[in-house]
Amino acid sequence: MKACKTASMILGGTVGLLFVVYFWNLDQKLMGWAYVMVNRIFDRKKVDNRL
Amino acid sequence: MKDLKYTIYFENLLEDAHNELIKKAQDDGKICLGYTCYHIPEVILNVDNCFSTRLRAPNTGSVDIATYYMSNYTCLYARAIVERAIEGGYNFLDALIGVDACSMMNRSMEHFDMLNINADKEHFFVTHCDMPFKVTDYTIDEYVVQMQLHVLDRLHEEFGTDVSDKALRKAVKEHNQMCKIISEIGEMRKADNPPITGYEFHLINLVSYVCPTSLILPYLKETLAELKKRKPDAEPWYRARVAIVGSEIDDPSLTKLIEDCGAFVVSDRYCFGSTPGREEIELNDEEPVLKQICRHYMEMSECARYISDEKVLQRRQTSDRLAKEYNAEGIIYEQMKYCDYWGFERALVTHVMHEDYGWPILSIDRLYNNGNSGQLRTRVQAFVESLEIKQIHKEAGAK
Amino acid sequence: MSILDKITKNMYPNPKFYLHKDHINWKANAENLKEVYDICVDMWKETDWNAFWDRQKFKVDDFKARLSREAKTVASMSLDEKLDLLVNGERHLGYLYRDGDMTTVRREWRGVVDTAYDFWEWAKMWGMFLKTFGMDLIPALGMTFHYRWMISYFNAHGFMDKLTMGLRGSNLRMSHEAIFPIFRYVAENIVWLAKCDEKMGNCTSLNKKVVLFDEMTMGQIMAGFPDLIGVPYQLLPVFLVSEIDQLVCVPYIDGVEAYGLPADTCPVPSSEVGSIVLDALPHMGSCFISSSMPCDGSTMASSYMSRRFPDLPVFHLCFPTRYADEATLDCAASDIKACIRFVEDVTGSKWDWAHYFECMKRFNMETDYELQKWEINRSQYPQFIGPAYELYRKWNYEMDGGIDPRVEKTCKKIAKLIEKGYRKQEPAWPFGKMKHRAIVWSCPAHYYANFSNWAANCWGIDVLVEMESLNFTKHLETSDKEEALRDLARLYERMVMRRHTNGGYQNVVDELWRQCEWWDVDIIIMYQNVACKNMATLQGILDEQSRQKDMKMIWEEHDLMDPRTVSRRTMRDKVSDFMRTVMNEEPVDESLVDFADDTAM
Repeated sequence: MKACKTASMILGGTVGLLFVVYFWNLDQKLMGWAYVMVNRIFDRKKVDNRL
Repeated sequence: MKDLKYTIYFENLLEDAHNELIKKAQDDGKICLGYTCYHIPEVILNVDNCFSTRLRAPNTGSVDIATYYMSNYTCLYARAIVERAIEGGYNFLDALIGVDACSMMNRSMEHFDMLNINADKEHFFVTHCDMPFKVTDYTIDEYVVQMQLHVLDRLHEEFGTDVSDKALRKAVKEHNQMCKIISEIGEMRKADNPPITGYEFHLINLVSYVCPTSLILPYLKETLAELKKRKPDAEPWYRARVAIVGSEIDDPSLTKLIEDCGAFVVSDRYCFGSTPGREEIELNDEEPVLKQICRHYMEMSECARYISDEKVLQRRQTSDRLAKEYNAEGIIYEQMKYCDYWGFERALVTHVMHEDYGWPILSIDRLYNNGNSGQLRTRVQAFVESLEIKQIHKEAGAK
Repeated sequence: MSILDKITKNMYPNPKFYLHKDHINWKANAENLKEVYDICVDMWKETDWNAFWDRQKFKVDDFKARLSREAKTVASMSLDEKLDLLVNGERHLGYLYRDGDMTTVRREWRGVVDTAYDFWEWAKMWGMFLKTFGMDLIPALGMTFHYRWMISYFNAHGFMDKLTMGLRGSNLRMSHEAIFPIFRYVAENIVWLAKCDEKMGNCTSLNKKVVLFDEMTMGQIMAGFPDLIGVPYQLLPVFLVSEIDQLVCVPYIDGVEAYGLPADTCPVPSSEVGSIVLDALPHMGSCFISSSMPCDGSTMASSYMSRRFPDLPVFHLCFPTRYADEATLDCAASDIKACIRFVEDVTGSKWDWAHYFECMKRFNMETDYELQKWEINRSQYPQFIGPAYELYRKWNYEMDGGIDPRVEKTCKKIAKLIEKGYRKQEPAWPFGKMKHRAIVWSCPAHYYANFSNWAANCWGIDVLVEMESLNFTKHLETSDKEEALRDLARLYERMVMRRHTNGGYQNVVDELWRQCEWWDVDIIIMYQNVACKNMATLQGILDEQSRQKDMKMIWEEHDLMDPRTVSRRTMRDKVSDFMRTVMNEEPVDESLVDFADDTAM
């Protein structure tokens, strides 16, 4: 019973946290930041453009 | 050098798509077949009662109406053809032998249908033949079927043309006569102090494309004889020798512009040029004539549309070979503006020919009419100067 | 057959492919990461931290201001309005955007039930990505620092959001059902690319089983090689990613123009060639099948491939352009045969007719489902319409092609939802957005993949079908081998875009009017890719005939993969101007008329 309650609380908490991430678009905001950073890195990276 | 007897005559013939020799041939009851593309074997259009004229749109000014139909980001040659057609400049044609090779030229031909060009002419038709992208046994067979069904059978149906093997052989014989003369004239450009300029050769070659073969042949023969006796000036008139490679050039003023900058155009590896187009066709007795003709045109073709690796390599090797044979010092890679095939080809091959084959390259895109292009003139002048400097350094190094 | 073979025989993709051992060049990868690290250090040092914190402060303030605004808006609503918001969701989607942001400020509130459902699909998608990438995690993630395009895929959820923006009910569910297999396909192919790429997994044994083919070459030929993996080579680095990320092809285009390519060429082949020039394609595969694609430019890319990868055997699969001429069919069928022989010679694999027929039976079934969709969508109660449908159709027709047995379940689920929605007469778009029936013609802008979504949400213009979906619907032969090859040739000749742009003007001009009548549309959205020569050369005739037929046509200019020429905003303005001045209408959602998405995914 106690284990069920704990599991439910953990599950509920996880779903709630995920929902916050989902609804406030935090996953894409993080990916968006990573996108900008990675593109800046590639702007400076050496490219082999000799065919 | 003294002017050639027929230079002005040839220039006049090129001033009008419906020139006097075409008029004469039609008055004699011959059928005039227009075409634009090397992919249509020129020789089969000259069978029996037919003759071919490779379409140009000389003295094209504005192409506003064609631009409405075809947008302004498209090949100017294709647009010029449509503009001229709408103006009635091709009313003299009895048929248009079109191909679906490059998309823009294909649409040009389709505009003849969509805009009912020459629709009032009873037997007028436009063909849209499918063209292969590579040379294999089955693509040769397909090409043969296309030429048979859409060209020869159609000519026979509409005009009663004799399209037998015998008739084709006769056409090949006459075609080969013309090719032999053109090739012999072309060879003269190899000399250090040649008796012919690139511009003159371009004129001669162009008239062979636009005029009925039987009627232009006597002029060509006479010109050849004249050139054999022609005395060049004491010193060569040029400062550098260049080969031209690329998409269609039916405007001799481009060659004139280049030569006015001090270059000598020694070889013409472009559409409407002599390579390909003026090689003699060798026939055997074992195979059907049409198949041999088709195979010849496919194997000789230097069109950028052929995408197989062998053909890509062939194009590079041909450019290299011609430039060496004709003692060029540099190569001008040119393309008609907005030509997709040559746009991609030129971008890559400019690097390849320079890096792998060691050629100095000038890479340009150009309009349909080029006589007055100051920008082009500047670029060619700079190229000529750079070739001169290279030559000077080479000679200094040799000493 | 071993036990493993027996177990894995009917699984797709065959798990045995994942068991091939990687041979990662750790030294080269360490050097690469070192270079990345050094750049990061430089970037850190150069960062204007004041500006950075100012921007974060702005975001926090903006967040507070939005929250406050939304709370006040809700508070001022009547009870009915609050209930409507709770049950049916929000109606002003433009407010989700913020100037300068890559993503929306939050996800859409679609009402309790639909938001919960969307949340579930979001989590499912993440689960799928993690599971698939987990099959070979290090190479899959490592690609991020070798290829610029890889990071764009991390934003795939944003793509999903924009494809489903504004949707509710059955259409939302169908869209998610359709998007999932596409993203799964993407994830699996990214793993193949990562595993096989010389720079990453370098899995030499798996490379022998990989056949690369041109991005728009159809995948059905691989149905005869179940022991091989067919990878549409440029699809992930160039073609599909440009629908997710509007800016991804810009470096390719700039790179290739710096190389010497004229700027007037179509951005598809330009980007393809640019990706080769900039070395943005993985080094992998046993061979490459190049094809005569929809246009002249696309045909030319293979010579650049050969220059970058001289050791990669190439087969040029070349189909007649005049495909309606049955006299060309033998040549096309011969080319297919030659291609099959080529793959057999290079890979040592043998063509499996039984497997091919099994896949084509499935493809025929999928075609039937598609035709059912069309019947419903042309009715007064269209069901599954919008950008998710458009993408799914193209992907299923070209890339999947009946090969993936899991797609059968997707088709059945969607069919059930369509039937249910049709019986209930459920509107495909809610809130009065079913105002105009539209058809889209010509090639759409990749950088605005959800344009039809915006058109519906803002103006109630419902795109029932687009030209690229209207392809070959004949059942492919599944018993006679010679006829099967001829059918395969017919199919390939009619691949997306090619079906209409090749073969004669009738396929695009006359066909348009025929389709307008069949779908009973009142608006034509005529995309005008400024560099598409096949379509540009018909613009006058189309314009002329539309006036003669009194059809309302919106000419929508774009540059396919380069948003700098014609931006998304300019594309929207075109429609908005038309709707206001010609149709005298006001928008359904005013907030979507003008909003900032210049940097958004």
